[in-house]
Amino acid sequence: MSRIGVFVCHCGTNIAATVDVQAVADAARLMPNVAYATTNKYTCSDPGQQAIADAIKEHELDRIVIASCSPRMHEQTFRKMLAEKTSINPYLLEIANIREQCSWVHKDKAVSTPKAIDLVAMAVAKVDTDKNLYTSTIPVNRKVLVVGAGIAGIQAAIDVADAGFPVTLVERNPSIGGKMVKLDKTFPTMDCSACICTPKMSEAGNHPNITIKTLSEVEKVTGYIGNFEATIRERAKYIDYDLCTGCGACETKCPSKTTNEFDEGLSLRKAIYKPFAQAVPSKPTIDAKTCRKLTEGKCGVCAKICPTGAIRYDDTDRTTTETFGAIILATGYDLIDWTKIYGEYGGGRYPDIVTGLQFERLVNASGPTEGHIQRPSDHAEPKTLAIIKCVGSRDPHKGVSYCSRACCMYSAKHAHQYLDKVKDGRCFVFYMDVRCAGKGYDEFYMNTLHDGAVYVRGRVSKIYPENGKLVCMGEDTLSGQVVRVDADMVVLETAMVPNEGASQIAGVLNAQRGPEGFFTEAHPKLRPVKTNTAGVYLAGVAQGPKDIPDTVAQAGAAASKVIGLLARGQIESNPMIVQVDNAKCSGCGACTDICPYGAIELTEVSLRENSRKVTRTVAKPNPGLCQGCGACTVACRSGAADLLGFTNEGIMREMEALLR
Amino acid sequence: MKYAYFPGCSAHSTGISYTKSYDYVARAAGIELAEIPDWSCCGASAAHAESELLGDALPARSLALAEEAFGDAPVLAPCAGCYQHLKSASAHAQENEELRAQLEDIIGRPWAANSYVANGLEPFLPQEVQESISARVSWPLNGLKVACYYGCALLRPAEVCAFDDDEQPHTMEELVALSGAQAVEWHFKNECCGASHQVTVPSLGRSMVRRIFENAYANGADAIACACPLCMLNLDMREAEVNAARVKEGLPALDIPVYYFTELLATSMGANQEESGIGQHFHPATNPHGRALESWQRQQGVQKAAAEAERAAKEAQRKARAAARAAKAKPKADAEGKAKPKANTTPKNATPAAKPADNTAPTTAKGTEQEVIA
Amino acid sequence: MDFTEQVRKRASQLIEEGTVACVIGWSAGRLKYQRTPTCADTPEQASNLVCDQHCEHALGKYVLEQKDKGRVGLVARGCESRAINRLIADRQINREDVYLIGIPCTGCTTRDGVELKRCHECQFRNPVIYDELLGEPAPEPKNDRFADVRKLEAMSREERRAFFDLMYETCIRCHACRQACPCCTCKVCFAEQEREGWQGKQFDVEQARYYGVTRSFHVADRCIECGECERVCPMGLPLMTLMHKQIKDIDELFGPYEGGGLSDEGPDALRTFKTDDIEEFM
Repeated sequence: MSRIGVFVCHCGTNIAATVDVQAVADAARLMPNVAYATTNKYTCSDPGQQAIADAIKEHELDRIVIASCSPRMHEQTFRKMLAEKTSINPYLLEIANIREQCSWVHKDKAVSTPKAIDLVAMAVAKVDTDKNLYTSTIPVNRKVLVVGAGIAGIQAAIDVADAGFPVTLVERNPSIGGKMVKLDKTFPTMDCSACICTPKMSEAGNHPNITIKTLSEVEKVTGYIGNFEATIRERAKYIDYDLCTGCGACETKCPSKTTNEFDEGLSLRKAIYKPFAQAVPSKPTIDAKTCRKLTEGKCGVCAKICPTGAIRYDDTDRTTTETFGAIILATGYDLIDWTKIYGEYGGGRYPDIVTGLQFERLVNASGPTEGHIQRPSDHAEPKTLAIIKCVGSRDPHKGVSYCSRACCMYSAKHAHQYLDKVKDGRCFVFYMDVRCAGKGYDEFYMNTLHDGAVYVRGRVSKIYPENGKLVCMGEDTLSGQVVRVDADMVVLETAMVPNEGASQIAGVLNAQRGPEGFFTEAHPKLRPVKTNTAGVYLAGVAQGPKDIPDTVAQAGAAASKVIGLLARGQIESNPMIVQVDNAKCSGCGACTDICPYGAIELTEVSLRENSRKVTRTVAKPNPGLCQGCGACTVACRSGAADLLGFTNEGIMREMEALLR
Repeated sequence: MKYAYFPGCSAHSTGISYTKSYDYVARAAGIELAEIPDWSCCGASAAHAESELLGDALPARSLALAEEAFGDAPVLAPCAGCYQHLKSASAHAQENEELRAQLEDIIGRPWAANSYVANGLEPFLPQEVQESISARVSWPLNGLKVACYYGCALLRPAEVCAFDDDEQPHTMEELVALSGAQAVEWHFKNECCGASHQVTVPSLGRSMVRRIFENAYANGADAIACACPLCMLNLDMREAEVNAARVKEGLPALDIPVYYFTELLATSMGANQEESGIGQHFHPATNPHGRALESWQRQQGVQKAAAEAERAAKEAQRKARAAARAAKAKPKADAEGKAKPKANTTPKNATPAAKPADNTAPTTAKGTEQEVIA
Repeated sequence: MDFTEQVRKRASQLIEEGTVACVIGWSAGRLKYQRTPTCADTPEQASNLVCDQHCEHALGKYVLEQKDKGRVGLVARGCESRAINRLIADRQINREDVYLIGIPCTGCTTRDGVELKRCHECQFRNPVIYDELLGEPAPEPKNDRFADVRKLEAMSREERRAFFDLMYETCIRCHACRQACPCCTCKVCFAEQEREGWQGKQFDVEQARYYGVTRSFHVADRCIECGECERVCPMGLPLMTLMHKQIKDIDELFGPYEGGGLSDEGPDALRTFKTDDIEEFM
């Protein structure tokens, strides 16, 4: 005979205003096996929890029902209390949700009170069938995989590596550094971007605990938190990095030229190339699509000229499989392809309309124009610059509906840089809003206004060429006037969209993404770096548009979660998983087919049946993989697969209590 | 190909030349226009400004009549305004079953809203139709540079019309090319002409029409083609006032006739003024062939002058180089300022330059060389 | 159809050679057209086996009882062979545990020569797997598989209600259908699990309906359409009509479902998820 204690919470007035909690406690006292029932104003508080512990002792209770808010709020709290303050197994606890499922959805006490009583009756019936459950530990492999080596990935890798854990940093481009290394200066301090990024790149490159794999992608991941098995494909570099000294002679002689992605298409590079001077690793690679040797079998000059004989035309992809305890996704962003959307801005036909990243390359001293602001068509210095914000962002009709967060600041930066370099220049910034929410940000924007940037509140409806200028037809909504700016060059500040590598890794990991394609965090406010996949964390723009300070902060946060996980070396498993009764299991394999996590396999066991020893197939669940979804328990015809904590019996008793 | 034909209110009044020329070309191309019996006004801009429901119900009535008479034959509305209203009503009804039922109720007749609504350009776009038009072009308008003006209603809203690229359309250019004329690339293809502002806020309306003319001119157009009676009316009727304003500012008057694209096609197919309707314009538009020839000659002149200049420049360069060589070959004693090396007079820039070299187009007089900015 | 001589010969030989430990077939009953499932362990017993059109029992499931003896020989027509495939797919036996003497079946009849319903509706009369085939393959008439279902679907709501009420009022919960069905190999049937209490013990139409409908769902995507359930039901319930309805639905929603037991591996429709599964009913 069990002695069940029922504790009905007022939750202040959250419950008590709509449910007669005293009546519920009174009704509970009459339920089968209930030895004690009471109410409490705030059960989750310290005194509230102590009151339960005291009642358990005083009334010799052995099972508990708490009628309160959703178990997602405080089930863990109460389990912890039982474990620490009482001798009752923490899993002999049932929560009846009489708040979210009762007091918050009904207005009439006459309706909600009987419903609350029903919910408590169900919990009482179920707790009677609950069994002691015990967690087990899963060992955690102390290695970390970071996908994406922009500033987010680099920072996260450095933080984890500094804590003493080995990190594999995987990057699909030939060098680490991401977008940050393309920028010229960073707001609001106007620090040179490469100057602050390259030391981090160098630190990552030299760190004893960090292994960098460039031109690599994660192809496959199986396993679970603490034990991910990842297959990484390193694409052929065609150069032996052990022999290559990075002298650059090969690049000088290569006859093939193609568009330079690093310069955002504003210059050319060779087929054998180092993406930029400060690349890490500081070695070139051959672009198989444009190399004459690799496509036609001709040329081969680089091999002839290489002083160490490091060229390997017969290089192939390499795949490795390693085990990791945790994975951090830092795949970053791309800019939206505005040429496909905004035909009114010429759809890419006018070379003097550039994106923000292209402008960064133009104004960068190591860029295609050595830092002189020149327009791409004729290299003339633009005397009138138009900057258009929100191209693609905040545009639910043609672009994306969200704000890309960093562009208000970097357009102010662009305006400032332009006015700084072109002393007699005029700069017009077309905006909808100016969002300067960080430290020193608004001051920076004010400074830009003092520099002479003219901010026009309104959008540009069309840009067309006339007499060698680009006519921007806009409006000034504050004065109600139509505005026309004949610009020499136009900078479009375009939306950030998830990097194309994100969809690839999302497929591999089955990671959740939101409707815009950014990875979904476990909770937007309280768990910004975790995902719903245990062991997978997020950092940087992969989770949503943001600027560099926020990216670096988030990378540190993700690293700290990972360090916390790895430091313990093991994690407690969820005990509410499936259990198979071998006596009832016929080995039909329905559970194996239906499990979404691949957590059940079939195995041979020896059993005694009808006084004989038989060897037959039964199902064997993997406690590390099982997430307790219960699909197998439904598929199992004979009920051999049962979910601990949510047994078939428990649920039947709940229903009977309800239907009585 | 048979179409349920919705002429629209201006078909026999202000848009009479569109109707005449359309009829001419359609007949030649084998397109049958079966007029919807008892059709009524589409509501134009007035109806949906008054009430959205009225804006859908008025077109619905004619569409329902078309359905009754011609089943699911596509509906043709050559006037872009009518096209847009009929198409919108159809689209709204297709998306919203409740609305369709409500409209059926209002117009008092059954309406499945299944028929396709086509604009004036669409019937001529299929390859076979273009070929049959081409085959009948007997007097092409070679040399005539035409700026194709789409206006608003043919292209927008893009989700309803789903016709051509709404920022870079090219269908009218395709058809105009059949007449032998050359379509020019310009930047006001889809900019509003001001529509009814011509009446309510005339100063605004004039400036919008003026912008269109000036950009066409800047891009080398001899004429403008359009596919809507209201576009035509606004442009054609107000050109004189645009010119008056220009002259007041000391700028030359523009001579850019506005044609319906069907007028150009009909004329190139041998239609006379009566058949094509080009005699009924406000701004004189007769003799497009004459204009074409003039334009052609001008272009030839420009090209000739450009070729001349290039030849002269190359000649001068050659002479200069020869002189330089000669100067070097002479003994050092002669180098004391005796023969002034002709190299100093070589024009540095050898690219051919037309006479007035700068491109400030709208202010120069008509008839001078114009570069087409592609 | 009469394969008696061949069966006797081959069964004896196989037992003699030691290829099999026993052969499951039929022997003559006491009455003229009566047959009984029999397991012959010796060549002498094998020489009493009978195989003709009165052998109405499908033998497939008996191998489970005999498999401790060693390799089991089985006289296998279409229905037996599909039952074997089903047992292999459900991991109750391995393929090498049985030796199938294939019989190209032309259908069984009652003593008056009327074709059995289950044979009339059979879609695969020839054995789909076998180790040897005693004769040329028989023709496959492939009669209308879903004739009974269509009649049911054509009924009005009230008529259907009456149909099923009558069925379950008559059911005596003898579970013969379950015992005969090759798909029913659970160690403990849901109907007998007292602690969970899914199946009530009351003897009424509701509990009978619960048993019958639940069993039909447990079997639905695996049914081999052998018709044994209907044949063995002492109360003559139209069990195959219900199963055909399940199969027709699965064929349309998740199909095609040509027939159960055509291969010895899955996946079965109701326990697999494809991204293009229809979701209209959700």
